[in-house]
Amino acid sequence: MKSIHIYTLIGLLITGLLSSCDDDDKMDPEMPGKVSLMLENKFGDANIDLSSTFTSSKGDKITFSGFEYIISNVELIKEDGSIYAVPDSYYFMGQRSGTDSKREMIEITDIPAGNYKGIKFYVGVDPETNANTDNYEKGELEGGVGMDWGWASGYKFIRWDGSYFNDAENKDVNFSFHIGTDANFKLISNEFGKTITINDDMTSQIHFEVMADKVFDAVGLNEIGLNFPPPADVKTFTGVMVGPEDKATAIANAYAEMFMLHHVHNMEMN
Amino acid sequence: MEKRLILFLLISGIMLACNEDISPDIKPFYIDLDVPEYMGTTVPFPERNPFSKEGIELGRMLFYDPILSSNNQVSCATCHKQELAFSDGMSLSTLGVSGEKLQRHTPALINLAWNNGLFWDGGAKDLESLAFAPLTHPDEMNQDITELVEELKQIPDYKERFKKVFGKDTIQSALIVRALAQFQRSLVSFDSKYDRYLKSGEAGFLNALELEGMQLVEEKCGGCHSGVNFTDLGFHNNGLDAEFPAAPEHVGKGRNRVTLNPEELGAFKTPTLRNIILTAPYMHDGRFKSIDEVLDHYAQNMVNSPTLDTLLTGQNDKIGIPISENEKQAIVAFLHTLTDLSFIQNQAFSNPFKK
Repeated sequence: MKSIHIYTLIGLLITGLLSSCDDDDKMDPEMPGKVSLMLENKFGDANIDLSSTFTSSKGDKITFSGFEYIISNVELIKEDGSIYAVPDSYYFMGQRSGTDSKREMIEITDIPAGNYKGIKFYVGVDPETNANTDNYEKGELEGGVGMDWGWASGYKFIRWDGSYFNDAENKDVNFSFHIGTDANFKLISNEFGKTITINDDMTSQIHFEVMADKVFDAVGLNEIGLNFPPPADVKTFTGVMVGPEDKATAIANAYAEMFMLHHVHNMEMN
Repeated sequence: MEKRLILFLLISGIMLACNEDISPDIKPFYIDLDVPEYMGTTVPFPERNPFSKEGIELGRMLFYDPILSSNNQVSCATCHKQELAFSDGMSLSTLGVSGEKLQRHTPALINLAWNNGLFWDGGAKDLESLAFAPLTHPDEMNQDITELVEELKQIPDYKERFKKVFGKDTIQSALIVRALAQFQRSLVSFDSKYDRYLKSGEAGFLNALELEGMQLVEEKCGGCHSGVNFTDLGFHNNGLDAEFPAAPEHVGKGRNRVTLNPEELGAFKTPTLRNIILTAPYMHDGRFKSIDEVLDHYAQNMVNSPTLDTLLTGQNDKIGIPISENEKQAIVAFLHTLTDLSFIQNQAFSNPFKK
């Protein structure tokens, strides 16, 4: 009998101590809340996956082997216009063949309670942070995992790879859109058209559709052709790394316009 | 008694789990690295990665450890050999994991802390960011960084050292490259015969031929190989080629690949002349086997192109730098005084696994 007593005591103690590790659990409208930022990758009406072939308005037939990009410097705009900047907000998004992970959702926690009317974020990495690639202090900016360049320090703001049907060659050839450099760091800014309440008592989601087709509508792969010198081991290749400059700029201008706010949810938690 | 003990252990365990702070007694020993006054007294470093005794030592271990490569056979030191002032003696190295020829010549690692950009085109902005390139390139170390981190975490000695240096109970890719950078920044060479001359201020340290050579290097080479570190840290087209083809991978374009500035087509970094006798062959593609070939190039074999450096366009439409045979002898004699034997013999820079 006595042993039961002791184990009950242990149980209670553990429960007590464990909960003291966490932030206070009970619902409170004054306590910080969280929001999910959903970025759903689309090509027209279809969701992007790594097996389908998509056709752009220019007639390019495109299959992705990777569709990745970086979102950073997220700011939530309060009803009164003041801003909550999410600290160290750097996120690798999207998916790549050969890996299981597909990232379309960012969970932002510890947001001060309040009514919010808009969101800002960037595609890419701010110039200060983009100056070097050993940024372990900053969110998820792990170096050497494919989202940074080795030969010229800096991050790939978008890293889209795949193949398309090249009309002149009459076969599929590879393409790579690897766009970085400070000039291509692009602001995405949206007002919700209403306010959402963020606190410990609410659950919220901000949902964007990421319309990749807009980029391929602006920059035709067959129009670029094969004019970009290939890497040593790829014979037929259409690439826009950081250059040719004009193409990279056109792509960056287009990706700045591809984030379409779809809707926001705001619900009281049960 | 026993149950109380269990209770006590349980509670302490849970309390510890709550406490994420790392105790202050494991801080590394931060140090300044001294260099002669003519180089600014101490070795510069980026604010985010200060030198510590333990950091440099960890970097040294990583530098010499083949675990950094995919097949666990290639270390940084495979191509950066101390006895050759951390170069490899080959025009284009084939010592990487694939055995394929690299596209540019392995640079020597000497006084890198002062560089503004690394690689022959300056594409890497600092040593930390640079390291990801050789680590991951399929023809160099071919490493999967995520796997490397996991491998290092399996080695208790490394785990402890990373914790001591960076105060974090984990290993991350950024910490690997920071430790490597600390070690590479510590590779300073200021103990040559020329340095003894500079430090003493007495001409007697150099003989007449060497002094003449010093004068000639200043006059004829000092436009680019300037100052006591014998580099302007800049990028120049020094008349090696008439054309700069884009393939493969734009490497022939030099600095232009990075800046896209048309005036920098075919411009490559000015390397230091320190330890130059040890670091043959020469140029970004290792095309010249000897210093004599290099001097012949500047004297008479230079090729014109629209971006050829104006320092080399010469007079009377004759490109290049006029250098007589006697002057070449004096220049070579002086270049030998830039060899720093204590640099290539320094135990602190040597393989820590070889006792």
